Amino acid sequence: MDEREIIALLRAHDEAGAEALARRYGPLMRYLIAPILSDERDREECFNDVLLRVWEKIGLYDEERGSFTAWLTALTRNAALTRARRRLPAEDALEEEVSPDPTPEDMLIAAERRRILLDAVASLTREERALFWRKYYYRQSTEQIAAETGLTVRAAEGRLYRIRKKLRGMLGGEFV
Amino acid sequence: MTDRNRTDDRFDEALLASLSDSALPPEEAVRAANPSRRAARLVLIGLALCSVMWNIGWLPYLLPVVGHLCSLLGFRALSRENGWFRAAYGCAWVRAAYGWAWLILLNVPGGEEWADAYPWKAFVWLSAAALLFEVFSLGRGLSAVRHAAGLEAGVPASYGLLVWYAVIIAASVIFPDFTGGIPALIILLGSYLMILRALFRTVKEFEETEYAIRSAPVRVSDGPFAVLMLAVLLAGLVATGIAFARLPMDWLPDDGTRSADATSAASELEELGVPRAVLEDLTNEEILACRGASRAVVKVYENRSEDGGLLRFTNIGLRMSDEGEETTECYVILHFAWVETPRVCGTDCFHLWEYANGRVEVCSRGEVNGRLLCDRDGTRCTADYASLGRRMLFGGAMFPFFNTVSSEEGAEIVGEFSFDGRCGRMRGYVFYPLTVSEGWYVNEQYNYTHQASRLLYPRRTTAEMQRVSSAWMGDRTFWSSASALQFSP
Repeated sequence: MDEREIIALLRAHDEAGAEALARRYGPLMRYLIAPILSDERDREECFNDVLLRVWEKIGLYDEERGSFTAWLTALTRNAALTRARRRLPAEDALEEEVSPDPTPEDMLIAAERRRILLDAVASLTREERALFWRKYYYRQSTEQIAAETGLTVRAAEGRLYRIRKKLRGMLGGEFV
Repeated sequence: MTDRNRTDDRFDEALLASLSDSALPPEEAVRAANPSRRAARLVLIGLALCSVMWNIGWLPYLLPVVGHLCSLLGFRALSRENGWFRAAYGCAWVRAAYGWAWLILLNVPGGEEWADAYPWKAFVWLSAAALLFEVFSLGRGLSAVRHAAGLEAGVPASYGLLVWYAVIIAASVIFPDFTGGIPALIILLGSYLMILRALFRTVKEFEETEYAIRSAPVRVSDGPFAVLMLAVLLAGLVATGIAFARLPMDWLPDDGTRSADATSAASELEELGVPRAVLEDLTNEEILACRGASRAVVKVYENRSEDGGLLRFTNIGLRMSDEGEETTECYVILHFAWVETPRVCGTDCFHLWEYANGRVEVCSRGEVNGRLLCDRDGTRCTADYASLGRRMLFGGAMFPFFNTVSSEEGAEIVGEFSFDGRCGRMRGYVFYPLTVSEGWYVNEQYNYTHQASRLLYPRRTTAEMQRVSSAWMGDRTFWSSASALQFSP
């Protein structure tokens, strides 16, 4: 079953769509969740959460804004991050809870920071960008990055260090 | 924790925080997430590059090198995923070893003839078997991945590829001498397009699984791994390049002592006009054989080679018999000397057309002898030709400008040799008796072909190169100069 058929079935709330989604995109979703959640039970629960969210929110998916894989990637990653935050140690969790909801001004500042960062990332080489997304978006470990990109761990560490240095040079000290 | 580490951590946190919102990731980031794509593409690019030999320039050698590297890197990443990919990785190593050995063997003069020897043939068969098993394992490995991803197992495109390779290998065994023609070209191109289609289908099928393989950790990164492999190949090429740059020559000191008879005979010949420099190079026996010559014809030519050498030809004909006989007995001395040393001392060859007159019965040439000379540290050294003898040409069609030479008569006397680059006054000659029928003239035509560039791959001696192809003409790798001795005896 191809992507369009799966989306159509999900929009029609046909259970065959959910099955096809889990079969076809399950490996990718698990791959995205694994680096963020270390506990196996957490991962499985998160995976089921994402399936449920896709089932509920498929109406929000807009082809104009990006591919289905990109939408699913964002949904899966954010679900895993949310679950990981809930698993933070007590004092960190308390800090999270007392943090007030972001104001519109905070959201504007965050969007602006993201835009500045993406501009800086765009000036990296293609290979550097791939490493950047793996490290900072997918939160993969250096060992995983090394194995999947054909680098030794030491070489991967070196490259990530140089990427960080380049970005710091472009973004300046006030970015922190 | 140092201040620097703290700063790094804070910067890392700032980067992570900036990407924690729910906006869609760029497509580039989505593609970066799937490690299967890169490995699968490397494997398939590798197979594609090794499948078809594009006989243009150095492409037949460069493309397989890149192809083998891609296959190794791709299967190396996939090898942790399942046993089939691990088996394919092993096969890729066997094929790469064969590919490297073949490329190094091509840097040995006569290497292609070695390839007919049994141990090498066994290696060829092992490599062919490895190729078939690699493609089979690739199909099974992909099928296992699809199964693990919950999709229907089986990758028909990879089996199509397996059949294509099997047919090509079987055809090469059944029709080993089949060289081509337009139907073969069409079949090959058609087959190649089929391969490409099969490969694209395989890649697409693999990518559509969106399956995240377990990549194998590596001890050497891909870049240094490729550099290391290329360094091994380069070391092999350099080693064989040095070892086989010249033909083995047995240079021995020679003081050139003349017997009294030979000295007297040499003086007579000098009086007839034979240059002393040539006489000094002949053996006592050759000078004595020419004793009593009634006439000498001497022709001198000079020609500058592509690599800056100046070659002087001194062609001498000596009439031995008296006037009025049915046949005339002659001796011919074809002498060549590098007046200015060329920059390259590789392999050279001397080839004399056997029947330049166009008719066998006109001239009857006796045994051809000769030797090479040079001066090393002030001492005269001599050596025999590495090989000197008669060989058949492919036939008149190869040489339209010698259209009177039939393929049966198309033979030449070829002398192969190498000069030592440390020597000075490099020279040599051939010497032979000739019987000429009455009313005919002597027409001895020959070429001196010199390797004028060290950059020669696949490596062949000058004589081999001339035998298999006339491509050296107009090619700066080889320089050829024609010379002749024509006179009425």
